Amino acid sequence: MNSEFTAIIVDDERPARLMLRSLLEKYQATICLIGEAQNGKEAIELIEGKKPDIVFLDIQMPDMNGFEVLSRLTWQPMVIFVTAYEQYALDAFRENSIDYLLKPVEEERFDQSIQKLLRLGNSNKEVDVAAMLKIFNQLQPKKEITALPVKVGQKILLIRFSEISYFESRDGYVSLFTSTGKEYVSDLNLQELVEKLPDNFLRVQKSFIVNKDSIKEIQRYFNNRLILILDDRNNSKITTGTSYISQIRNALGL
Amino acid sequence: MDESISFIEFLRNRIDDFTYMFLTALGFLAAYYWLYTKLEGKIRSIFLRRNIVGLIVLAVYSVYYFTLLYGKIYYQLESNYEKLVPYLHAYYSMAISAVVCFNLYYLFTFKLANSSRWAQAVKNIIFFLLVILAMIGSNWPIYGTNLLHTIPFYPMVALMVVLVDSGCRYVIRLQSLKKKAKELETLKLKDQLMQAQLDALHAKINPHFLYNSLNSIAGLALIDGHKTRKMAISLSKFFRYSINRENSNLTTVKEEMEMAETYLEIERVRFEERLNYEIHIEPGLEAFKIPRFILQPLVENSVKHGLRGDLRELFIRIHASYEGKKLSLSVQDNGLPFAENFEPGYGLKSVYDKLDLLFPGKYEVALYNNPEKQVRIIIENER
Repeated sequence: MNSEFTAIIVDDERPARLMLRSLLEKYQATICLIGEAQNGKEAIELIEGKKPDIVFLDIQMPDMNGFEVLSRLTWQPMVIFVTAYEQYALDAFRENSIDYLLKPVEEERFDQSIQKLLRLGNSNKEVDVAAMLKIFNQLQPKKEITALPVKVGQKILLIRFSEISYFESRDGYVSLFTSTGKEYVSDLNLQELVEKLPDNFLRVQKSFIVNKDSIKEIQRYFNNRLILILDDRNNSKITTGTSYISQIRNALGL
Repeated sequence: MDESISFIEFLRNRIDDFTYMFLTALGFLAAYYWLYTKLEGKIRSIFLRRNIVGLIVLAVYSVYYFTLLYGKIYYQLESNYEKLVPYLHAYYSMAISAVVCFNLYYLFTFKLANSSRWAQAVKNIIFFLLVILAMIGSNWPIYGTNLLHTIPFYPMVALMVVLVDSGCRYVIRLQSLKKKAKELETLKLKDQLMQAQLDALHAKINPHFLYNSLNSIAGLALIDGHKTRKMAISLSKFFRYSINRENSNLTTVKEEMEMAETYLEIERVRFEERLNYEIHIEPGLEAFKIPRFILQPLVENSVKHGLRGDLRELFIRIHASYEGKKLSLSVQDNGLPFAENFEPGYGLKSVYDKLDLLFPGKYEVALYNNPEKQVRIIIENER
């Protein structure tokens, strides 16, 4: 154990660790592999415990990603990221001069990285991990909420937003009505729903939220109110509240 | 009028009346046609069925008829009545008789609307006779016993009215045909759209999965030849299925289950003993048709979320069973339960989308936390 550098491999898949281990074999004289971790938590413990010089860090792991691991470390090793990410995500890496290896790992590319590391030390130390984590999270495909879970007995049903025609609050319960006329009870109150639902849902009255896309007809009513006729099975009629009129007009382009 | 006058001369004398009548008939028919096309679907059919126009016109006609009778006696004292009335009369009588006929015609023939060409011809002849009758009727108060003189040109006017009517009808039919063609086109487009949507849903296989699997192959190659070979074969099987050369949207339960298993075999090479699974099809359900790739996204979710946290060993159970006469597909795992504010991701959404396109209104997807964490799809009999 008189190698110059110590190294740790972090990856949640054994075959991937095998791959790196075999690639490291020819550097036995300079790099000594002192441990392997298979998730973020293990990695943190191992790195803090053994304080290695080099860490080969998988970015996508089930419990946390590679940047999260780095941001929780007190010991700062030199890091080579290993990732199966698509090209677009890697642009951010390149801009921050972060060294990375693409899965499946090419031998030539691996050698280049090692040699660069041994020659120049690591540029990763200057990287603002927190900022990188932020960029990284932004690059993740945004999860678009498209449905609302409702409980029916033991079941959780997902009601797609496009199916919902309106919500009504009655006696402390919020009911959800679908375009086919089915009724479900939601656990959330109207205020929580307004925050959660996409823009095409509109609060039109103290106790009603309406799906804009399900409005079939709008009739004028007295006192700055409107009657909305919905395109659902019952052709539901909803009278809007006086205080909501300007929002409704804006939203519907009236 | 003198009885010795010839027919040609008679027509020449009445040429103004004739023109007026014709133009008025044309005007009224055009107005009627315009009204007809302005009215939309449901209102139009109510309008025609209850024949509101017909009733109004009949009322106006009755008022006119009686004022004319009364007026003849009243105005006879005035000198220019004799000059004025024929023109006015001709004008009104023609117009009104045309509209009355038109409405009577609708009233009598409404039920024949979609009938054959012969029925149409019979309708036109009835209409033709009705026009003549109405004109004779409306002229009676003026000409009285002299009515015989005016008879010869009624058929001509009636013929014109019928021709104009047929023309209107033809245009209306042409329009409705065009509309139908357009609807058909939309339907076709919808079909194409559905295919495109399904294609898009199929094509979206996670690239991470591919790269990670290939990396595993590269990693295993030097250590375990057998495992490497198995992995390469499983991977190609899986991709062959996902490429979907035959472009079929449906597959059988058996095939879909096999693919879920292939997927799990690949993942098991990556995650080894941490991932275990059991697959079961109740006998008789193997050939049941289901959309392609509705199990795999659920299994992928189980793997992705199941290995999160402290869970050391993930167990996935895939079952196809009868739920009464319906098919139940269930993917259970021992991972963390679905959260209260669970937000479905792309995989689950794609399952919904495929079922929506291929089994609209005939399926249910439900998540359970009790007694086991599972996603369950219930599909009513084959399409």
